[in-house]
Parts: sequence; C-alpha cells; structure tokens
Amino acid sequence: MTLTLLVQSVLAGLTNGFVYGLIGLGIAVVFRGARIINAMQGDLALIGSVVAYLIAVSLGLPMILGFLLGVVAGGVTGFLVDRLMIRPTAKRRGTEDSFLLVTLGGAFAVSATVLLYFGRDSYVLPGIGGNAMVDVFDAAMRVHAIWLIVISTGVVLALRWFYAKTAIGQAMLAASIDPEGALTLGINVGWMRTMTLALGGLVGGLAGVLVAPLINIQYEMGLLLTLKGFAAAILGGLTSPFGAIFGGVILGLVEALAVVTISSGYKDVVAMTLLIAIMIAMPQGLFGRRGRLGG
Amino acid sequence: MGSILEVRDVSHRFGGLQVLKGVSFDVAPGSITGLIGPNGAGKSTLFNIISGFLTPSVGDIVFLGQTTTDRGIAARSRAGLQRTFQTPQVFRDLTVRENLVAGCHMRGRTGVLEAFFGLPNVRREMADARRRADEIIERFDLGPWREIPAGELPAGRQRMVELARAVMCEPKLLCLDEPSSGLSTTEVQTLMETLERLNADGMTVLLVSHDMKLMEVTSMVHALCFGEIIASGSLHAMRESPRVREAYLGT
Repeated sequence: MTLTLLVQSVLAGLTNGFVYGLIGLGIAVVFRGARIINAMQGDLALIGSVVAYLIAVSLGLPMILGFLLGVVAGGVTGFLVDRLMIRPTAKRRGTEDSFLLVTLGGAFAVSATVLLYFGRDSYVLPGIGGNAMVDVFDAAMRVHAIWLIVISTGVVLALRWFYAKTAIGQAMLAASIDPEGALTLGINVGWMRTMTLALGGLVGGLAGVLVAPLINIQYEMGLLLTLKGFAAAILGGLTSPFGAIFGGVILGLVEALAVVTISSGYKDVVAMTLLIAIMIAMPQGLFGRRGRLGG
Repeated sequence: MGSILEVRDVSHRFGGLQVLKGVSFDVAPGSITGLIGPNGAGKSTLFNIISGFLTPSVGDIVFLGQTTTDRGIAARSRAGLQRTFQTPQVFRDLTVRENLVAGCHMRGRTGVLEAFFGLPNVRREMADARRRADEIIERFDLGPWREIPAGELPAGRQRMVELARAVMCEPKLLCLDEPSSGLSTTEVQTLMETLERLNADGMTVLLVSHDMKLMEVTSMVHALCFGEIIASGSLHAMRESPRVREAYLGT
C-alpha cells in the first residue's frame, strides 16, 4: 500500500465520517433533549437535499438559496414531526419504543414519497466550490468535503455553547432529564420538546444539503444514513454532540481502512464489529457518562 | 391583604374512595402554614391538587385571588406557586448551579432562535441568572458543590438544591411536601433554620408533613384526618387538642 493510497483512504474515511457524524449529531440532539430516538433523522436529510435540489437545480435559483431553504425545510419537518406524530403519541402515554416506531414509520413514508415523485434515479446536487479538488499529500480531496468538515465542526461548537451557556439550552436539558420537575419550575416541557425536534430537524436539513453533493440523492438515502448516523451517535454516547461527530469519524476511518486493507465488501462487517466491541467494553459509549461530557 | 392561597371546599375521590371531604383553609401572607396528619389522611392528594398535579372532584383552589383549579402545573409555577417533592427531584445530570439556572429563567415560549442570534442579550441574561444562582447557592451553603452534578449529592443536600432551585423562581408561595423525610436530625435542624430565614425575608410557606418537630417553625397548623380538617390553630394548640392527639398521636 502506497502512502498516497493510505492518505486517500484516510481522507475518504474522514469525509464519510463527518457525513455519519452529522446525522448522528441530529440523533444525539433529539435524544438528549427529548429522550426520543428519531429514526427519521436520515430522512430529514433526504428532505433537506430534495428541497435544495428542487430550488437550485430544477428551478435554477441561486445555490445559496437552495442550501438555506433545504436547512429550513429540515427544521420545519422536525417541527411537524413533533406536532403531528410525537405529540399525539405522548398524549396517549406512548413510551420510548412507541416514539421509535412512529418515527420509523415516518421514515418509510418519506422514502416512499420520494420514490413516488422522483423514482429510483439518483440526483446530483452541486457542492460548495463545484467539483474543485485540492491536493493533500498527493491525494485529492473535494473542496466541498473540506467545507463539510468545517461547517460540521462549527455546528458542534455552536450546540455545545447553546447547551452550556444559554438558559433555554439548560431548560431543554432539564425538561428531558425530569419532565415533572421541569413543569413545577414553570418550564413549558411540551414546547421544549417541539424546539428540540425542530433543532434536530435543522441539523438534519443541514446534513442533507452538505451530504447530497457527496453521495447523491435517492429515495433510500434516508434509512442508510440513519443506520450509520445511529451507529456514530451510539459510539459517541448518544447524548453528546461532540461524541456523535467523533463516533462518526471513527466509523468512517475504520470503514476506509477496511476497504484498502481487506476489501470494500467487508467494510460494514469491520465497522459494525468494532461498534459491537466498543459497546461491550464501554456500554455508555465513548463520551456517554450520563451525557455530561463533551457538551 | 387577603390570603395567598385559599382551599375552598375541596373534595376528591379515587374511584369509590373518598380521600378528601370538603377541605377548606387559607394560607395567610407571610406565614408558615403547616398541614399535618397521619399517613393516609389525604395530605399528598391535597398537595397535588394545590400544585396542579390533580384536579379536585369538587371545590376550588384560589391563588392570589384567582381561581386556579383548572390551570396547569407550569402555569401555576409561573404565577408564583412553587412546589417541591417528597423525594427530592433535582436534574441529576446538571450541576447544582445549572439546576438553579434551568429553573428560573427561560420559562416562556420564546427561545432557540433568539438564543442563537441575540448573542449580547442572551449573554447578559445568562450572566444575571448565574449571579442570582450564586447568591442563592451561598445562602443555602451549597458553594462547595456548585459545579457537581446534583444527582451525585447525598439526599439531604439534594433537598437543599431543590429548595434553592424553588427559591430561585422567586415564588409567592413555597409549598414543601414532607421536606424532612430522609434527613438526619442535624439536617432537619438546618432545614428549619433555612425556612425561618426565608420566612423572615418575607416568603410564605405551606409545609405538609407528619414531622411534629419540623412543625415548630409554623405559625398556623391545620390537622387533616381521613380527608377532613379536624382542627386548626397554633402547634401548641394542636398538641393540646384531644381530637388531634387521638387521631394523630394515637393517645
């Protein structure tokens, strides 16, 4: 194996890792703030990328508008998921499993809708900087991938700040830790959950517009992303935004190294074996510890 | 000035079981009012009706002159009625200071976008909240545990955190449910001193407990037995009352 090949695979792993991490980030945000495992997280990304595609490619409007509205579409969908699916379930005293099932159903519905209107084809969303490449130690990396990494990192830092330094962030955490206690302090627990789902939706939409230029949009994209994102979030401890990105990067790197050292067909086997091993050794995840570390 | 809290002819039944029968009493401003009674007297049910966890079958809760019987828990808290729990309910993963900040501040419907975009405002708001939290933390002698997750503290200290968090909300009426349960004798002493100090600063307190020692801080006591108020008066009068002695002390 040459050095260039190694660097190339590390770069690919890093990029994929941030893709998984971004989805995991949304899952972690929603789990942390609402104790709901959102199986629609990947489909929020699908919605974000489809909206961006419709605006920027189909309508030919400026790319930046497509990006922004794609992100907003994710947020609005997150809001609607709470109002139309989570809230009625919670009113009937649904448990964590029912939320998971409801969102899983939502995920299939989104996927089927995209299949109905867009078919089985995949669509390419142009990335930031088009298809421009930069050289990193003789290996090539897309400019868009660098933006993906930079923006994801920024979002993680912003979320960290939000939970640690704003009263509403702390109220959100409080509402998820002890809803009853939060109510007695006058915190509007239902609204906090709505805000959490909307925030998760924004992160999902952002993931969509950032990921689509790298992996292409097609109807099954959501569930595949959710699976990898979920693995990333679990690796990171499920409640830590920083942990989700870190977990995603580990997953991406292991996959990439498995591709160059074994074969591409075994990348999932290697990555999931690692996941199982880590979960056995550290059931709380790498940054779990009841969700305190890693902001 | 009238009463802070009026319990008007409240009755409640769970299925066929009549738990409360026409209970009426007032909490006067500036008082520490006690509600005593043996286990099963209906204290907790009444407490849950006052704080909004239950809606009474019959009767009304009037808080600050307004009927609040049908208002939710959070709405009552925002109006100034603050409760604690028999088992201290703190936000376990948040530090002591975060517990206080989370409680007092962001209560309304506004939020996330403002937090992300209104930076200077949000910072000032947070700085104010932290300063107030620190003052209250000092008042409750919680300084050394400020940055420790509240769930890691022993029960007695969690009780103080819960109380401090309630005080942070600047309640007009502080309702405490069995606040001495699970506390050592010295901790109960500290709790009593804390309550007396809060009361001296003008806080009105409703204390629900079967702990007669703790009741020494009260100025007015109502004795509840089998869902009815059987006597009202000073703690001394309660101790002398044959009905209370019979029902409560068993002598």
